[in-house]
Amino acid sequence: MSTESTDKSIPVETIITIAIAIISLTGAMMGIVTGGRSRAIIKYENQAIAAAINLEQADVISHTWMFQDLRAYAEYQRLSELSSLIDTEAEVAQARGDTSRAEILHEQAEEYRTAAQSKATFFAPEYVLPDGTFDEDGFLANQMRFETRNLDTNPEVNFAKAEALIAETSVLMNGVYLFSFVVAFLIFAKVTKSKWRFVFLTIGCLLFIADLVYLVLFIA
Amino acid sequence: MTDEKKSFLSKNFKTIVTVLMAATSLWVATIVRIQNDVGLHMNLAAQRSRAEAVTAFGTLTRADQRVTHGLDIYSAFYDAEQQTQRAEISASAAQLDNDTAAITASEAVAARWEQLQTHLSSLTPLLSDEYAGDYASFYEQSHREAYFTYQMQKAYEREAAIWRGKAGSYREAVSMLSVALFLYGMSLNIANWVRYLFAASALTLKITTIFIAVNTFFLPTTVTSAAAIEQFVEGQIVSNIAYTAPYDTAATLSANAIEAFDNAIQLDPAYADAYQWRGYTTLQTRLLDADQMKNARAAADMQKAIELGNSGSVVYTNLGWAYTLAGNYQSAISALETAIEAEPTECTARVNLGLALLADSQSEASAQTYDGAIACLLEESPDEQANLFATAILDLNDLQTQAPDTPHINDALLRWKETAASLALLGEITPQEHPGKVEQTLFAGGIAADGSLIDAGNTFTAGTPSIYTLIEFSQMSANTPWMVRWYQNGELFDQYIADGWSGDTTGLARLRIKGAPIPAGEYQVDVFIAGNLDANEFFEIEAGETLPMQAYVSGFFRISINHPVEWYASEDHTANNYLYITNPENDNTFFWYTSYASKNNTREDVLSNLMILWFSQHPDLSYGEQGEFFLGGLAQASYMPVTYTNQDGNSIAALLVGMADGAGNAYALVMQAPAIDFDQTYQTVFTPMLHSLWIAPVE
Repeated sequence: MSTESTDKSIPVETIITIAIAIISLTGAMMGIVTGGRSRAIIKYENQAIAAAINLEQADVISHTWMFQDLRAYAEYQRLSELSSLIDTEAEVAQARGDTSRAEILHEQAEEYRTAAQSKATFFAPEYVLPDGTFDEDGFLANQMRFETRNLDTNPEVNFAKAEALIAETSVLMNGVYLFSFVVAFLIFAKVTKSKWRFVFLTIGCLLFIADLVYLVLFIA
Repeated sequence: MTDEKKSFLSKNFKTIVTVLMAATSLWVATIVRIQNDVGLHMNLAAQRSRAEAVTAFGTLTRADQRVTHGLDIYSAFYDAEQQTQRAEISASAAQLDNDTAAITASEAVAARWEQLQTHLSSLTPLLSDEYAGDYASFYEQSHREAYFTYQMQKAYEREAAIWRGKAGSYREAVSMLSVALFLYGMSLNIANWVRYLFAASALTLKITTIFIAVNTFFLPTTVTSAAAIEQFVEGQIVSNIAYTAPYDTAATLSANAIEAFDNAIQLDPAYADAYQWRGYTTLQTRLLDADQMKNARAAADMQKAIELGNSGSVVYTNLGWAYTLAGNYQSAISALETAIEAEPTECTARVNLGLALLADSQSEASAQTYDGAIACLLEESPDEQANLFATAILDLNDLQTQAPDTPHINDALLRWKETAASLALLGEITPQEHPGKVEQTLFAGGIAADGSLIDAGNTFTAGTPSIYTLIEFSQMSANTPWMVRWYQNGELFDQYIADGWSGDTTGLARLRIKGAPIPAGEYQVDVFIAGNLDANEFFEIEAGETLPMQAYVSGFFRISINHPVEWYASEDHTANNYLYITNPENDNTFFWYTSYASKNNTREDVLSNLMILWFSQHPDLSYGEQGEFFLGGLAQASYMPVTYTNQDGNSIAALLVGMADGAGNAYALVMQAPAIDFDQTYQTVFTPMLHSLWIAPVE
């Protein structure tokens, strides 16, 4: 009986050993895939930081240019307004017959006009709207388009990719984690000499199938 | 039974341990699996925090750029405002010379600059109706997004810290399990009873890791929500605006800020910054009249903030101050020492520590701490220095009032006052020896043209608009630096720093402080010569109901005057130049003022001309007895009470006043009200207005 039993048990042990080897190999391969995913997560997270830096750099540079233009335009407006007001005063003085004052005022107005013209070279006139306001949004949009060309400036997209990979990795790690239980049950089956070995073997096999189904379902 | 058990254990020991080892290995796998997830979340939160830090910096830079641009425009606007005033003054001067061409020209220039102001107002929100030049509100609102992003960064930082903590716990558990596996292994190789000890230790370790892992797993990882951050930022902005706001609006703003912090805490009960800021906003600033309920709340908030991880120097400094206000000096000393340890350049903590030590009767330690505090202050910017000196003196004044028996309180106060004065006068912290002395200090409500004092004394009625301080010096030498400081209820109200003594060795200085009106309270006046406190006198402005007034300054008429806040002032610079201040609810009540060139007229002539003008408009005018008073810090004036009936048939009373300065300028004013109310209006409104009137002499 004993010899018979031993004879019968040999193929079972072999099967278990092979199963352990296969599952261990599968687990190792999944571990490698998980490792690759983890590297990708780090890559996307770093890309997200780089994108945030690119975006802010472009935005700050665009604002700096915009405020340079806006400052020049505000000064231009101030000087133009002054020259125009002085011209009006000069006309009133002229009409009053005060020619000498009118002349002085015209000269003053001319000085302000010249100063205004020199400021006019420091802003882009195409952004001055018909109502005289400066199109800050238009300027910023165009400048940002220029500054961000060929640059990754969307940290959120990269973070979203990293988050998706974290979720995927989590699924894979669950798979590997379950494999450790499968292996444990198979080892129990291998070391147990009683009929319990079949129970352990069955549990191990069922867990393995469940794990595979889980992985296929979730990865799909 | 026991023997049977023993034999079972002994027989199956290896199997049991093997099963336990397998179970432990699976438990290790479980923890490692969870730890892996935790590690990924930790990295993600840390990276998000870094990305938010970058965004916060960018947002802050852009907000600063916008604010700077607003200030540039504001500066141009202010320049235009000054130009307008200058042109108005020129027009006024031309008026006195009857130079019509110059008047027209100057008025045109004034109008030009005024129009430019209107134009500039449209270029920045700072000058819009929303902010009306309120820089603090404009700055804070412009930085809202930056504050929000910064808080988001901190929220991710906190999240990363939570995950980091969890990862650390799991790591500890794995380490303990590896020891457990080692002990199991050892137990399999030992034949005697010691193997049970090893196995039991391993089992204990494993059970401990189960507790650690379960506890860590269920530790909340909730992150501060955007809604909570929005509430916090609202509170932060309002609290910052309240800090620079006038006293009456500051209280309302602080209450609003506290409400916003309450909301933030309700949304995230672990929001450390919200506790810190709520505590800071609740915290009282004065030792005297400190509300102990508020102090207790502020201290509790600071402690909670520390407990939640905000353990910087600022929180401990504020906590120390809350304890000082509560009279809990030992706790205050401990908190302030922690603050200084965390940030040795925190001068406020050093100043407050000196105060707490002094209040705790540790005079020597206090003096040493004050040495360090003064050394620390010298490294600060002049503005910050002045601020901290004023605060230190105020707190010592309060302590002196609250606990006059505190050992060495007077020495400490004198030291701070003289150090501050020496720095202001000499640029060094030690006063110079000097024979100069203050012989006498007098106070008066006014000074007549002949130099005699009006309302001299130490007690003044509520509503007093200005007080003269007359200081008689002796043994002074040329260029000796001297200064005067006025403190209202301990708080610096005004100061005068002289360029240096000029004139004889003895002399009189006449200084004037003014308000709209000067607030009631006890005033302390310190006179310093070369940094030495030489005189320390007091006067009091009695409390009482006063009409809220506001100051009005006219560049055109070169006068300043207070008027009731509900009244409005307008100027006519056309044919008849005049200033008209009236009650909008009753235009029969008004204050009318004019000035004009009048080379040979006396005050009697001016009054006669005024009466003729009034008589021409009111033929039933009857008059009373003529009198005299000193007016506008300039000269004696003659007045005449009159009554008449106006166009609506109402009985009106008025006081017509004429004055001439002997330099070719005439001044006329009329105070009018319905006859039935005139006495009351004269007492409550016109008298404080007359007292506040200041006419700049025409040079």
